[in-house]
Amino acid sequence: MTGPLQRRAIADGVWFSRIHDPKFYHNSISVTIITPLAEGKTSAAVLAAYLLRMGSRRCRDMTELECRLADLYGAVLDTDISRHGENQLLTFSIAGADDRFALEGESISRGCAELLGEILLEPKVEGNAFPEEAFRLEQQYLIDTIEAEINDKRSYAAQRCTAEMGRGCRFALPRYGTVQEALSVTPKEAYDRYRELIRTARIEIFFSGCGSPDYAEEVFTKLFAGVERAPLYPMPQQLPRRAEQITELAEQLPMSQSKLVLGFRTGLPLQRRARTALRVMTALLGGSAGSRLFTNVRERLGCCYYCGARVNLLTGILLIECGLEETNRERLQSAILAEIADLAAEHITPQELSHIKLAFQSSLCSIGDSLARTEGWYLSGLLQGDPITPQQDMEEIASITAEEVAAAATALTLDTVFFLRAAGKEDGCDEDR
Amino acid sequence: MRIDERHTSALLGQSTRTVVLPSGLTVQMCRMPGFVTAYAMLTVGVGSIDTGYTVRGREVRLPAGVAHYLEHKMFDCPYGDAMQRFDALGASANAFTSFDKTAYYFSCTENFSQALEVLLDFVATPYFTGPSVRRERGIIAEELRMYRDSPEWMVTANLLQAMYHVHPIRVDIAGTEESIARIDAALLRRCYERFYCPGNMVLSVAGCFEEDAVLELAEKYFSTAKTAASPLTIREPGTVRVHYCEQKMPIAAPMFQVGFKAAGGEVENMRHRLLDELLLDLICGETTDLYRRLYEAGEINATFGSEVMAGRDFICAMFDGESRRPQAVYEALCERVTTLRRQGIPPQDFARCRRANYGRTIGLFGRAESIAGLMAAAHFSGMKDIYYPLEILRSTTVEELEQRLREDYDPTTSALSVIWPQGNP
Repeated sequence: MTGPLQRRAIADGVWFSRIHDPKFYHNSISVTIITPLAEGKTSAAVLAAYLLRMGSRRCRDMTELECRLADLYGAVLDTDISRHGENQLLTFSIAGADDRFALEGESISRGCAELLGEILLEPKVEGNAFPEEAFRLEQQYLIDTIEAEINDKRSYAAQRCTAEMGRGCRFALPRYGTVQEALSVTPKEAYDRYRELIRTARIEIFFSGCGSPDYAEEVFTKLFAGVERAPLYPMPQQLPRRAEQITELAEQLPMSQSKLVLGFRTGLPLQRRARTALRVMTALLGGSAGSRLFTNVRERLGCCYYCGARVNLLTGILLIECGLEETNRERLQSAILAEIADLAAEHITPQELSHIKLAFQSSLCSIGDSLARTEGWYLSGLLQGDPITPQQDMEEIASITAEEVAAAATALTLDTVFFLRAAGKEDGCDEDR
Repeated sequence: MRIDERHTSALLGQSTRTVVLPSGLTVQMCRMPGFVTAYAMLTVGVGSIDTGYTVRGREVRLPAGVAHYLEHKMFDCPYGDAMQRFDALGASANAFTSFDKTAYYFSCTENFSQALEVLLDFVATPYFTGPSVRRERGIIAEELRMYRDSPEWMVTANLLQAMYHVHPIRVDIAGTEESIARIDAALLRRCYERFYCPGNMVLSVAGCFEEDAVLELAEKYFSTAKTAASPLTIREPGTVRVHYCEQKMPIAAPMFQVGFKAAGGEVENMRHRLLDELLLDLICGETTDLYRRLYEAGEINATFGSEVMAGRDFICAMFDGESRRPQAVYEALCERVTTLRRQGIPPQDFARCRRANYGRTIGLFGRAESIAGLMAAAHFSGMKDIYYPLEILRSTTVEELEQRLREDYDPTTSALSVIWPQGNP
């Protein structure tokens, strides 16, 4: 791999990457702990991630920690829990203004590296467990977070469709675990799980920005030298490539707008070029305001507010999501399937293919103008084991043919249809003086 | 007469140029060395609160949602949809309508001049046809339904209805299904003529581009001066309408939003907004004892946050999050405001907070889209340049902040909005 990324191992399975660009005004350090999703272990890891914000060896409580962040010119500490294929990703990041903006000559980036290292490797514990009281609060928050997935009806519908298509697969395990799982974790189990992750998980550390990463690398090298690492490398699961039959599911909620999600299997192409063609096909179908689903289905038919497609290359699932009135459902579904059939029949004009390639080119070119996107790009590439630069990706996209796009559309098989029916709602708001 | 000014920040090593063309259109530019993306935004000073205008001393009323409807239909062109032209150039375009503005924007890494021409052309050339305008009604109705299902949206919409008596901020940006039924092509054209005038618009460009190309195109498409209609004067009382409102929705944990209503004033709002952001941090930011006390008592969780909502003639400071006892959180916030008003702001807390806000503000200047947004906000709020926030943060004193707190944070002009889970007693 070429490009701005420089990467080296600082411990067994722990990597430190540098992305330097002087045009920015700030620096960001992130630590991503990567572990396979495992039934019964997800919630404990999430709870540990939440609890790390509650203090550290030098910060007795959350207020002291927040004051340190404020003193570092409002550095922002962020915790993100995500799913990447079969993996659970716990990302801890700190971003702050560059040292040249410090008013008293202090080093903001050094302070940020020390604080992040301390939070991760010297957390606040009581004996061999996270503090009980703080644990109970975060446990309740986790339960609320799991239950709140229903709040956003659009993502809830997409998640229900994916869960159905991934029965028995690790990738479909819930990102935060289940309520039952969250309830069963103890403060000691959460701490044990965290220590296990620090010892066995793959860890990717990034320093990106305009400042020097040397000190941060030194901090994390020293900290991980004190950890007895024993990385685990689990085997990936076999995933379904084609739909055997169409499963239709429906639920209803008191709400105003119904949601329709069509879940397709994509044939799970293994070669990078075929995966690239699948991305181009998805973009043509429903990836932008110039796509088929937007212009032909949303705008021309005018029967839904949104209608778009996205593909997950790691799970091989393509979702088409729409917000609609129930009476339009059949018309909408037929129109969507007709657009896919049209692409599969290679009814693709050179013009629309060139437009979509330009959109990719613009998006890929602009990655370097955002630290977060640059870091995300390389982390994703490293996780797929196939890291390339945006420039290399652009070149491949430019060479994809209409025939390859049609082949990607032909490989789609409809697996699951999930309909979230709007059952009307108790409108109106009650007021009190 | 053409006005041409340059503002420089020695601290950031960055500068902006503002040119006011003879037509009245303001063009703001910030070149960002090293960046490959260009971001352009054309902002019109019309939003959902413009539910009418004054012409020759006569008030003309408009259906709610007309600015938003216009935004949807501006992309219609005699040649088709402007979006397709952007696509053909590899530019990513979109638009939004807020309470007091409508903005059309794109970003690209290639073909900048051509994409800018598409933007200026479709905003300068209205093209509304009956069938297209009618078809859009269904799409906007679906959008309204989608927002009605969003608890985050509804908790704010209900709060604004509770706080404001007559201000059109009470009405959804997209209007209502009844109001949009009254909008047709002729009405859209009339509103366009009244509001889309060069003197009521600003073009903001940031990133990688050539200044001369921007100015040349701006003069080509906006060459004639024309004055926009005067907005209606809104006489909103200083009090809140009700102090509490609630609704039930299919959600997990109860959600709340608390608002402190202050007197709005267009030019002062940008400065007030910055001061209010400091005040929100000092009242219940994460470094405060109150935040920890509420968190440790389980009254709030990590979703707790704050924001200032400010526009042409409104400003309110808000706290929001999830809580099983929202009334207790509301009371604690009001008590904290009362105590700070009485006892003053501890100088060390003020210094810490000011430093944190200074550091975070610097981050805004490294992104083309936030610079373009800042430039447009600076124009409409009468701020002299986009670096003024850094100057305010450097020069504000604790006494100024205390004065702002005493004048505009009053529990008697606050309200609480709650969304309870359905099934909650």
